[in-house]
Amino acid sequence: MSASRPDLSKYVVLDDVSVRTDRIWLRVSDRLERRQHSAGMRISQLLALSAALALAFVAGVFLTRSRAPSAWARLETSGEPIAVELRDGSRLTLQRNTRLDLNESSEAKVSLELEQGHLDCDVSSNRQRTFSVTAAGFEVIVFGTQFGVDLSRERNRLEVEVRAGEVRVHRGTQADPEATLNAGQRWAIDLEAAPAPAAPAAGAPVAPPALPNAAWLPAPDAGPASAAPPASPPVNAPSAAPDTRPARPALAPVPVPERQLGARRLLDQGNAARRVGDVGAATRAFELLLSTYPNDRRAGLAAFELGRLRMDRIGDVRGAVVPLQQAAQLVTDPGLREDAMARLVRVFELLGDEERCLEARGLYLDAHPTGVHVSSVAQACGVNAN
Amino acid sequence: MAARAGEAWACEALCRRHMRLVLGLSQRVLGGREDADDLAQDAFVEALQCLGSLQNPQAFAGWLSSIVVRRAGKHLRRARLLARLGLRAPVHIDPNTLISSNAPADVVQELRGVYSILASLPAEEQVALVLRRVEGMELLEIAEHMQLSVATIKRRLSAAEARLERALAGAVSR
Repeated sequence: MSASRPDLSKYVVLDDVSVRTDRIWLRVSDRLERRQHSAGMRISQLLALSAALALAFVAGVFLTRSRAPSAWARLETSGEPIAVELRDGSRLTLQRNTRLDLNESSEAKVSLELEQGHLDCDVSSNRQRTFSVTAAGFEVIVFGTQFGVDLSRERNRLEVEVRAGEVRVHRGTQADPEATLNAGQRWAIDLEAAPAPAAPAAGAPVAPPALPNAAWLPAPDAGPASAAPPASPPVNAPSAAPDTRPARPALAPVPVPERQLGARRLLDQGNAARRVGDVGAATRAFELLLSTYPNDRRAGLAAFELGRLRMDRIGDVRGAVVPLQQAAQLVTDPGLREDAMARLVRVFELLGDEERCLEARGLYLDAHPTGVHVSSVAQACGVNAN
Repeated sequence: MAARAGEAWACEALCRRHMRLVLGLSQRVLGGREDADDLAQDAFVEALQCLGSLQNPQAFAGWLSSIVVRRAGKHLRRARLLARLGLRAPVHIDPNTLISSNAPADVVQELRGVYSILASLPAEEQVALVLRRVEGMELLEIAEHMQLSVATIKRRLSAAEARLERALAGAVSR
């Protein structure tokens, strides 16, 4: 009974691995992120606890001041960020030098006002409750999402960045949103140049004023410029296609100076775009990294990802050859190099190039006789390993 | 190892490289696709969180497989408890959807036998039987993966194989 038995595992069907891999990795990364966040929360709870005593005092002081009569608590950070959890499960992280008024926190409404600094919100999904952040006369309304609001008094600039879900930015009390942002998008406005938000008179709808300094920008973790809404024309390009969003004629995509971004940023952008399914943006970021920084240590990883995207997502098997060959040469991680070599075998097999397939197969089996892809590589190129 | 330092790209690369191994093992042990995806997810989360405890990075694949196997037993027990409480549908394994069309006849018969009785076996017997009959593992390997003694594995396998023999004999006589 102790002798080994034949391995029948290869006869059990395993399909849609690529699709399932993407889905599983998304869930895994999400769970890891949440756990990291909750671990961070435990540390920050200590900070928050010590801050709470100060906050109670600060809130009391501010309640007596006419400048913020509706604020029932103020959160203020100086040197260290703090994280707090609201009753509805939403989490707020105040970065350094941030002032935030908590105007209301009930089952029906959470209302925050950012006086200064940077606030990150992870809002629990609850359709029965409105969650809004006001900053410099603009109101950001959400239902369940992750986003950040940055109000820089030095630069006189307001920025809203969405990491998940959707938010709407309203100017003052106007009903029509100034901007609707989806995951990976960022909106910014220079407050000095923008007209002061004002409530329109009742029954007299006011057209939104032009915002020459407002712009759609890709969030740092999202794909490159193409992640921004595509319908808007550039500001100085009257001959371009007209904006299909009538209420926001002055909102325009701002070209990102990608060549100034650096290899790490390009890799991050490519990966972020790939994760949200923007294959075009991801491909461009990896291609740019490879052409601009061919000697960077991330070039191999970018080449591998480019090859994988062309092979699995775009169906450009021939186009995957060069990046996979580059990856096999450039990557420093032995596991990734092994993956790249195994993929090359598969690519040549798909292309029907038997000679190069056998060559790649031999190289893989020589280098990785007990590798994780041995069973599939051994049977590639029309060779029956049995 | 960049993944140990928590670098996201490295964790992702590690997961993607071993996804086929984990998904395949999960699916073969549990016999179902959806449950396999859940198990793979749990296994990767545990592995990436405990990566620091792995002494030899070269042994990652085997270590990861052990996590899958250990978690599979827990997963099965929980699924069956939920089914008994009426909180999820009973586990049903359809051998026809699992067996490759290019499998030889004797392999088809063996796999069909294994997967037709899996759902009726206790969790540990199910895992041990798949590791033995489908994965082709040796007893020592199974014992290491399941973190049980060889004697216990022998008992579990003996019970499961007796049931399998009866099922195979029944299939032949029909």
